[in-house]
Amino acid sequence: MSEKPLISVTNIKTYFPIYGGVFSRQVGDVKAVDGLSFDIYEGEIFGLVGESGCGKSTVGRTILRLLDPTAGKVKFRDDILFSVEENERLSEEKMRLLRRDMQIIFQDPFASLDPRMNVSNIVSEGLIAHKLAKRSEAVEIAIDLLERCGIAGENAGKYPHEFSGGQRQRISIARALSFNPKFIVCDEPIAALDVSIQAQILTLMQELKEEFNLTYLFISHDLGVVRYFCDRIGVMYLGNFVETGTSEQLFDNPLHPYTKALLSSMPLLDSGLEMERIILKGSVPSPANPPSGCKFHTRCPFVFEKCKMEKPEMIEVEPEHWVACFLVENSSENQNEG
Amino acid sequence: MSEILRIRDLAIDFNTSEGIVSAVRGVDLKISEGEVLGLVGESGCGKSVTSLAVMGLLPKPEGVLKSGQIIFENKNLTAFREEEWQKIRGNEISMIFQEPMTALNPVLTIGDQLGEVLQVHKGIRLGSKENIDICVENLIKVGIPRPQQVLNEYPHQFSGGMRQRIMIAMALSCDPKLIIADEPTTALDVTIQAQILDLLRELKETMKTSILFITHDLGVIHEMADRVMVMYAGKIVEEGPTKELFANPSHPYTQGLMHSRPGKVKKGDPLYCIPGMVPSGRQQIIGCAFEPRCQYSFRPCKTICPLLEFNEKGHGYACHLSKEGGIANVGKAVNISN
Repeated sequence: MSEKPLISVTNIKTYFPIYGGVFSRQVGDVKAVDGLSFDIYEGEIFGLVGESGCGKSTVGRTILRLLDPTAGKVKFRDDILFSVEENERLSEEKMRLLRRDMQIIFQDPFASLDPRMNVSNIVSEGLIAHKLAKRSEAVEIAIDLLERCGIAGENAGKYPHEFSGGQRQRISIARALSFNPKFIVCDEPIAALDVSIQAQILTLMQELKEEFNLTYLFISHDLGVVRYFCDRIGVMYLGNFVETGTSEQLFDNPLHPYTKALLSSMPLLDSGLEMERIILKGSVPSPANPPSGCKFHTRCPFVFEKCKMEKPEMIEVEPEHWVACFLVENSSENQNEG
Repeated sequence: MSEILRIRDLAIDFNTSEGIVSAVRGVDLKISEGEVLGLVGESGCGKSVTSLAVMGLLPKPEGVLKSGQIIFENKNLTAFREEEWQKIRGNEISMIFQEPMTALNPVLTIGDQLGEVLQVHKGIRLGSKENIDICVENLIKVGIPRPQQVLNEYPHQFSGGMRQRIMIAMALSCDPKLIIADEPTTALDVTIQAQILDLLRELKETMKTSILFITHDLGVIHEMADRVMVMYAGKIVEEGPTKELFANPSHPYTQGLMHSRPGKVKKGDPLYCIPGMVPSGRQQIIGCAFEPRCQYSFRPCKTICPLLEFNEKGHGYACHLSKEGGIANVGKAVNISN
């Protein structure tokens, strides 16, 4: 892991407008991502976890500029992909070149592959479109990549429907690798797969990371997988981080009540953590109308007055370990005084 | 404990345009009163088809019951006509489905859907005070706030977790003797999953209902079931009391499943992978269905189908190696090779 961030995300926000009324005027925003900052270092696997609707996929897509940001800044190495505040935006031309270095693997391998193209064309399409290789060369490269990802070369002429979910995910990975990228956003790449196939794909991704020197942003709702696979993890709730830290820090010493609740809701067999189960009441509030103050206060078992009024800032409790919770602030203050 | 459901040698075929698919290939199963039996396996192993057969809901005409008996309280359900089924279904055996989003009718109020069950099976007229009272009572049982108002609301007004609670309330309406829960928490987030599992456990204690709990998630099964059956390619490969089975997984497939979960694997250690894929139901399987993926495969595995053999603890597995004194733990074998 190098010291230089590959991706640097500063306070990004992505809002989706809600239209309503007779004239379809904008009546509000779904605040999918509401102010998020983090760095991903080269060779690192950064995990994003959270429940559905917390904005984790939106983060991945905003970073790749597949969605338009409402605020914030994203830097890829020395290039500023966008900075809403400074009104900067990398030109489409340059962005197109940069996209070779930034790829994405989607969750649903049944929807992310074109059913009318055979797999060698799927994998080689990008190379041809970017004029990096002639068709025959591109197909050769594609077959090599497919074989590296565990799809036998003789199957390169087959169509996606002839493959199982795990194999299709291998094809998606081969496609993402075709540009020899630096950075891959993995948006729930194993969520749709069976347990025994999940292990195969995770192992493949691990091997490829070493071999191609990749950096991953790994989006998942499965805490067991994230703990095993990721170096650092950000826990999201309603578009914000509540806690970030290394995998060990979060799992051995979770500090935010939401992280604790998440970990304790994991089946014991997965976590191996002998912790008291915190069962959260109710469900996640709507991101169109998030609660005031700390967004988690409506479900937090330790809520007090201040939480409803003020929003806690992220504070660093130990190197790399950040938490946004007044309880933690209080206890660290107390320690300082003591 | 008296026996409530017994299935003998159940075999189900599907006639598809691409030939006959054997979904279930000889399953024996019994559930005692008040027991939670967990049926676990990967997609396509036949677990859901088994449950549909118990409910008399096999899709017709393509689903064919090739052989076997389903005996529920001394009645052979396989000989039942549709009218007789209707007296059992929803009344003595009820079902909770995976998708709470699609299992409820979007154009009827919750009150209509809950009340209908009572009208059909108990003759309590929809809209009568008694009907409403029972519905309210059931909604309270599953922890839904303001039950009176909820009766007049529609499914889209509720979150996934709440809808699943409503589904459970509906399943409880007629005090069934057996509830079939087919992946009831798969579509839910972890914190909501913990809520629903907690609720099901509580209901099982208070109502003494037997539950056939179907899932692909070993972690969930470990928390819920008294006894577990592991299914692979339409057959039970291992069965035993939960504690015993998880302490001593004996079939190579069960072991593989347990070790391929990243839960307790140390970061950086390799994950165990079961090679290959689940066989498609179209292939004729003569010997052990797991043989092509099994690292211990030897001569008889290809030709002779192993039978379940039980020890004195009621723990059995179907593997030819059981006669050779079983196998060393797969995980240990992996560690040595590394």
